[in-house]
Amino acid sequence: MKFQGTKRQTYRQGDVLLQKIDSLPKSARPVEWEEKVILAYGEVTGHAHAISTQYAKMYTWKGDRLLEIQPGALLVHEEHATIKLPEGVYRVIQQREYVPEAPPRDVAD
Amino acid sequence: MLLTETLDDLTYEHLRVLEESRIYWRNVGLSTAQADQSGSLAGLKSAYEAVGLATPTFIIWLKSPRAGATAARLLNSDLDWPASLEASQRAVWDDVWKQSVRQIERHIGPQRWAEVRKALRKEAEQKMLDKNAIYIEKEVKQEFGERMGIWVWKYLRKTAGVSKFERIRTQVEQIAQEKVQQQVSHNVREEIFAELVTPIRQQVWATVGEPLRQMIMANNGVLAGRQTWECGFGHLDSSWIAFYNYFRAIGIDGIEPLDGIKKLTESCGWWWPYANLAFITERPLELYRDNRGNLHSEKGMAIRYADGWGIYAWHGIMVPEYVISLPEGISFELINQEPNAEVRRVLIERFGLDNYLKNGNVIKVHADSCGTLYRMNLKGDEPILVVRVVNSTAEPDGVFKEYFLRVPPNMVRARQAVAWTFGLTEEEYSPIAET
Repeated sequence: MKFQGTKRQTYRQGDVLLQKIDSLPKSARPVEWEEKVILAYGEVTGHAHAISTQYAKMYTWKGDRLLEIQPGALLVHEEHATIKLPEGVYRVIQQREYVPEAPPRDVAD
Repeated sequence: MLLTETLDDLTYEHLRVLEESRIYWRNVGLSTAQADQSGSLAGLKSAYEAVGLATPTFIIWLKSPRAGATAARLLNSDLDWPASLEASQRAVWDDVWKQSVRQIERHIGPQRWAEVRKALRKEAEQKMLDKNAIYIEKEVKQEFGERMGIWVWKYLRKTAGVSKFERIRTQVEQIAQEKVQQQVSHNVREEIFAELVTPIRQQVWATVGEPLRQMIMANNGVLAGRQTWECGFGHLDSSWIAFYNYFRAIGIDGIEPLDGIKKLTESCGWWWPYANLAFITERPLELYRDNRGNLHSEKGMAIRYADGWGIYAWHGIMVPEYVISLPEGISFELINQEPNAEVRRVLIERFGLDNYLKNGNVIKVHADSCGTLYRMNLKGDEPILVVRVVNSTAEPDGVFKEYFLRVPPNMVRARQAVAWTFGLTEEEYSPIAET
């Protein structure tokens, strides 16, 4: 496991979970976003889990999406209450559902 | 150019070509464009020429690989009266002989052809006179058509000669393979295979070609028997053709004999080569896949050909037509009667998992602050486990929406199940904030 440890802080908004990690790996590659960093789009509604680019930067690292969060960042979504995120680096986890005899399929609200 | 040293390192330019090839051959593989007939014929000519064979005299176009496979079986059978054929097989029987008439006439000359017609006409008239005692033109015409079909098929069987697939495809590839091995290092070959062939094969052959092959065998009906695939797969051959064409593109020598098959891959669907005859088939009219690349359509066939043949599929699982066309006909009882576990899973998804659970014998396994875990045992399949969770934020009308998430059958606690949906253990899962 890349991010083991039971004491890691987690924040959850609907089907997206953010897990705090120690630091940004050196080889992480930045992902460019305009205005808002989008963590996930709803499949049907088009609603999105998003953070202003003023407070958040996205990276990819070994197949994971990571976020570097500045003080003051807010995770917003049209159908969920806003979450105030403390400064730090987070891993973005998208909720999945079990599919028999097949790799898990992502769910999106 | 002939490389005097083995190619054992890929340059930036090589990698750029690799990237382009992957996109190009993937698109070739998934093409739904109408067959390029002149391109196909040029490819066929060149494929035959590459092994010192003349272009076959008779070229028959068919609308689907299923029709092609049926024609190939009819050609190799001794069935001489089409009455026992199923309707779709009969359609292939007719399509082939009707297309052949002109070609045979051209081949044997108008005089000989007129004699054949005259003899067949006479036979038909005699047969009908014996049967009806009077002359009924309509029936004679029908009998004449029937006899003409049988005569043409007999003629094709006699003339077609043996399959040349082994020589045209297998042997030529072996030669190309040796050429590549001589000029390219093992590591580079492995890299090209992994970066080019594997992804295209996954997206094209594994998700489209293999299901087609399975369905053709399942639909053989009265022509069932050992199935041989002495055919090129046309556009679906794109993964292995991409491999050789890549080396041709970066200057490796000796791949030219494969150019004919390459052209066929770019131009048409499946093709069956015989000494004096070839069946060439169309590409599909429609091809729908889900975001994982599996055959999938909620509205109709996921892959459909011009003759109406095709495959209904739900996320890569082949299903009977009603599962897609008549989802409102799906009931709890019908689902439980379905003997195939994979199809049953699709039916449950189409019916709605929560709907299905409401009707069945559901056991509450565990409940905690994360939700409630339920289990439903199934006959002949792993049990369905779902965790019922409630949204932490209320809807505008003040109601907290609840929903079910399916989880693996080894889950025993609700928190463990919810944690699993995020890829975490239950110890790791305790959100500070949850909305």
